[in-house]
Amino acid sequence: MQLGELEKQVLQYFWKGRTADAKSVHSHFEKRRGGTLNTIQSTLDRLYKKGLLRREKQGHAFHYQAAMDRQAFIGKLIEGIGEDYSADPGSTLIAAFSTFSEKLSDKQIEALEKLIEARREADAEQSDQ
Amino acid sequence: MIFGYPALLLHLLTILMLGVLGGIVITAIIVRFVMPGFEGYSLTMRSNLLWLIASFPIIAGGAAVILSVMPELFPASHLWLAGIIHWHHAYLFSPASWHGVFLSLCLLSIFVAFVFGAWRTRALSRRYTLLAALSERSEGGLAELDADAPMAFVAGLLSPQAFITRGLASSISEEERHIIGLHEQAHIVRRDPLRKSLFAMLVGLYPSPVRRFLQAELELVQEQRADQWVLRRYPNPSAIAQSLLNVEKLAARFRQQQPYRASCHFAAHAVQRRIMHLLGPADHRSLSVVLVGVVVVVAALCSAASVDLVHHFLETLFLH
Repeated sequence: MQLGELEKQVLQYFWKGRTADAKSVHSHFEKRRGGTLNTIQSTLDRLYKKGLLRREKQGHAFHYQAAMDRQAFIGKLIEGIGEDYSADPGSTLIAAFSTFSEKLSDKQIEALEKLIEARREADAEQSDQ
Repeated sequence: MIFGYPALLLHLLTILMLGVLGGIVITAIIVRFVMPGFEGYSLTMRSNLLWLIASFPIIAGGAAVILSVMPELFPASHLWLAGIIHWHHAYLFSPASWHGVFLSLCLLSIFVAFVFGAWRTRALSRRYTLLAALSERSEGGLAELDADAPMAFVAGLLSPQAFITRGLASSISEEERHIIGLHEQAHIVRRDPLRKSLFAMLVGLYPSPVRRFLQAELELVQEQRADQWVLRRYPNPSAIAQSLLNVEKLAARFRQQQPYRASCHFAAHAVQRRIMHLLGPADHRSLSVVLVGVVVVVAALCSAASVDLVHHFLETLFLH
């Protein structure tokens, strides 16, 4: 998912738990960064279409609120990274400390734990001598 | 019909493409039978070999062009070169011939692959920029992300950044966090995401199973090099190995709770291989540079020979 600078700012605005129509959002951002009501309306519409905002018609205007909180959104982004990685690990632009892969079997973990323990004991003996 | 130097240029492009294809076939065979035995070699050796393999099709294509255009560069070329590669109709190129169709298809495929690759890279970069914007600075050069999945990674092409999720940060010790921080720092210093991206471009021409194998091998080498980088600054191999295993166990536990669709079969062994490498003997075998050089020259000559072979084969089926 891609977000423009204004989209990010609008999302941050709604992540504070606000419900607002386009006019209220516009008056909030007009003081900070300028821009027209039309720009805000199309930004809200794009965020709604991306599934990041919910809206409900009250009278003549739509009232918007965040469809998911900030943590859920970051979780979704990370899940996307995991999916990209499992689909084609070599083509992602990340280097991960651990893998996003299927887990090691219990037997493999046990064998590795033993190996680490043996090395730890050997190092301890060496430092004692 | 195209005549003169433009025709020669188009023929050279066709030779380049055929040489690249020949190089791909020959390298794919070498990779299939030889590469799995390279595990015991040093990290530098394996890394160099992987880059050589990735760029070999281009080397092979270039060699075929040089052999065609400048045979006088090679000693006694009149005795041996004609049997490998020779001209048929250098100053005559028909766009409607198999040469023209083949060249058009190759150029179109390269263009499509380039556009798709650039689009994908841009989309991924934007996602990482968004993650960076949503992260919070924290100690140890790791930007913290408010997410449950236990993960630590470096993302970004030109300005890579290290991330750690709160799910991981809250479940590890100070020592583990220090090790993870050093490991991610190694990826940033070495610009591993950029290298990975360049490598992906080079191996993009290979058939999918070979491409995936090579990319997985490069990724493993990058991780092992980052582990060695940590080891030089924190000389406690068992602590590094234990951190790696602990993070892997945390990630596996999380994946059990989530319907995560990950299935990278190679990477299932990657952690095991990294731990074995960390705890194993420090000295690893090296390969003779002369032997590698001989293999490269022979493979390049075979690729160049395949250009003429394909030419003759196709012209038994199609007209010029």
